[in-house]
Amino acid sequence: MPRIAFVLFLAAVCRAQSPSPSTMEERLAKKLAKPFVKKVAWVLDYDAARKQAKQTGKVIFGYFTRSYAP
Amino acid sequence: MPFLHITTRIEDRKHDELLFDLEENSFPSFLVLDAGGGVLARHREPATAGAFKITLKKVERSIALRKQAAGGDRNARIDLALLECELGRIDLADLEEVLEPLGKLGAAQQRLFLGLAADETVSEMIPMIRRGRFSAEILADVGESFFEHYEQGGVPAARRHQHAYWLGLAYFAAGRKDTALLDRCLEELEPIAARNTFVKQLRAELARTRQALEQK
Repeated sequence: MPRIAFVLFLAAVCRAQSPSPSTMEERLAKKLAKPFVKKVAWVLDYDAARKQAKQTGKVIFGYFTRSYAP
Repeated sequence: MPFLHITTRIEDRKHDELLFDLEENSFPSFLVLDAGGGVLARHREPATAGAFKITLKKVERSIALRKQAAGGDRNARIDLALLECELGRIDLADLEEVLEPLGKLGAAQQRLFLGLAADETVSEMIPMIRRGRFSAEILADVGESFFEHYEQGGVPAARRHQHAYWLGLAYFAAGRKDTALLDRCLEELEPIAARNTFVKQLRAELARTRQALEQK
C-alpha cells in the first residue's frame, strides 16, 4: 500500500512539473519570434523543404534547435 | 535551401522527433539533407558561415563523386568513401569495410584515411580532456594515444580536433623530453594560439618547458 501511494505521489509531482501544452506552444512562439528566424528565409515545414529540394535540385541545409529549453 | 526545425515536445506535432529520427541528439545540430530526407552531411565544425560553406562544398563534391563511383571508377569510390566518413555519413569501421575490397590507397587517400582514424581517437578522448579541464596530466595521457597515430603519419583531418591533438602530443612529448616532437607541436600550435587565448596560455607554458629542456 505505501508503495502504491508513493508511485501516485511521484506521478503527481511529475505531472505538476511537466509544462502544460499551452506553455509549450508559447515557448515555440517565443522561439519563432527571435531575430535569427526573421533574418533568414527559413523553410519551417519539413515536407515543404523536401518538396522544394526536389523541385529545385538543391540540398536542404537543416538547422535543428529546440523551444522547450534554452 | 535553409530549413529550420524546432523540436518542441508538443504532443502529436508532425515531425517533432525529426532530429532524433536522423540519429542526432544534441542541440543545435546542423545537417545537410537530400530531397528524400537522407543525411548527406553532419556538420561538426563550428557554426560559422565559413565552416558551413566548406561543408556544403564537400557535399557538392560527394554528389559528383557518387555519379563517378556509380560508373565503376575505383578512385572515385575510394574518394567518396573517405569523404562520406569526413562528412559523418559513415563511421571508421564502415569506411574500412568499404575500402577493403578496393585495394591500395593513393598517397593522399592514405593520408586522409590516417587523419580520419586520428579524428576518431581525438573525438573519443575529448570528453576525458574536458572532464580533466585540460590538465597537463590528462593531456599527456591522451597524447600517448595520439602518438600512435602520429607515428603512422595520422594528423586529424578535422580542424576542430587540431588543438586537442597537438596539445596532447606536446604534453606527451614534454613528459618524454622529446624535444623534436615538442618543437613540431609548438609550431603547429602557433596559428591555433593566435585565435585561441586558452591554447595561447598552454602553448606559452609548453614553450617554457621546452626552454628548460634546452638548458638541461
